[in-house]
Amino acid sequence: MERRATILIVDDEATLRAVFSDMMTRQGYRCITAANAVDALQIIESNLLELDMLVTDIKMPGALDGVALASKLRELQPGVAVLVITGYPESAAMKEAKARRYRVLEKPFRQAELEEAVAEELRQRLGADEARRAVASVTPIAQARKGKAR
Amino acid sequence: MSQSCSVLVVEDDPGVRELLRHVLTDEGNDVEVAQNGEEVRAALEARAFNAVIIDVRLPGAENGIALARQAEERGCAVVLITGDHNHAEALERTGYKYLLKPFRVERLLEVTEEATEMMSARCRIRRRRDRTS
Repeated sequence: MERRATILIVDDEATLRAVFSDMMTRQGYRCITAANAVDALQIIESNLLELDMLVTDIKMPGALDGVALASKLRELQPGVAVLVITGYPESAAMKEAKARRYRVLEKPFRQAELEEAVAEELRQRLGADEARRAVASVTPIAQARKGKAR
Repeated sequence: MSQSCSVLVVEDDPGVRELLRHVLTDEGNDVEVAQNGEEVRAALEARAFNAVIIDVRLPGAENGIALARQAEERGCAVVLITGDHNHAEALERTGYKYLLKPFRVERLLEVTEEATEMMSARCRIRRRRDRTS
C-alpha cells in the first residue's frame, strides 16, 4: 500500500481549517482536522495514529496554544514534522516556537508558500525520497480508490 | 483497503472512536461505531459487517476479547487495538490480527484487509465442508 503522509491540522477558524485540509488533500496528503486545542490534544494524547506532521495555528481560544500541542506531540512522537502558523510574529508563543526551532509561517501567506513549507518540513523529517512518495505519486491512486468505493 | 468494507469500530473513548471513523470513512469504507458490549450486540443483530476493530481495553465487565469472540461467531473479521505493548504476546495467542498504538493509517487498512480475507477464506472452507458432509 502506498504511503501517504498523515497530517493533523489544527485551527479554530472553520474556513481556514477547511481550506488547509482541502488543499493538502489535493496535494495527496491524508488529513485529520481538529477545531480547537482541546480536541487536538485528545487526538495527540490518544497516541492512536502515527502522524507525519502537525500544522497548527499558534493562537487559539483557551489555555493551550499551538506550541504546547507541538511540544506534547514531539514528546510522544519525536520524529514528527511541525509547522506553526501565526498572525502575531512578536508574541511570546511565537518566540517559544522559534526557540524550539519549529518551522513558522506568518500570516498572510500565499497558498504556494503553505504548500512549500509543508513539503520542505516533510522533506527534512522524512527524507527527500519518502516525502516525494508521500505526496506526488499517491494522489491518482487515492482518487481512483475513492472513485471505486463510491 | 483495496475495496469498500463494512466496519464496526468498538471504542469507548469518543475522540478515538471518531478518529477511527474519520480515517476509515475517508478511505471509502462503510463505518459504524459502538462503545460497549450492548451496542456491539445491537449492531451485530441489525446488520452484517466485514470486520470489527476493537479496543482491547474497554470499561465494564466485557473486555475487547470477549466482544471479539461474539463478532467472530457472526463471521466478522477481527482486528484488536491496544496501547499496552506488554500485551503483544497475549494478543498473539488469541489468533486475531492486532495493532499496537501508535500505528500508521496504512497499517490499519492493511491489517483490516488481511483479517477480512482470512475470514472470507475460512467461511468458504466451512461452506464447502458443510456441503460435503
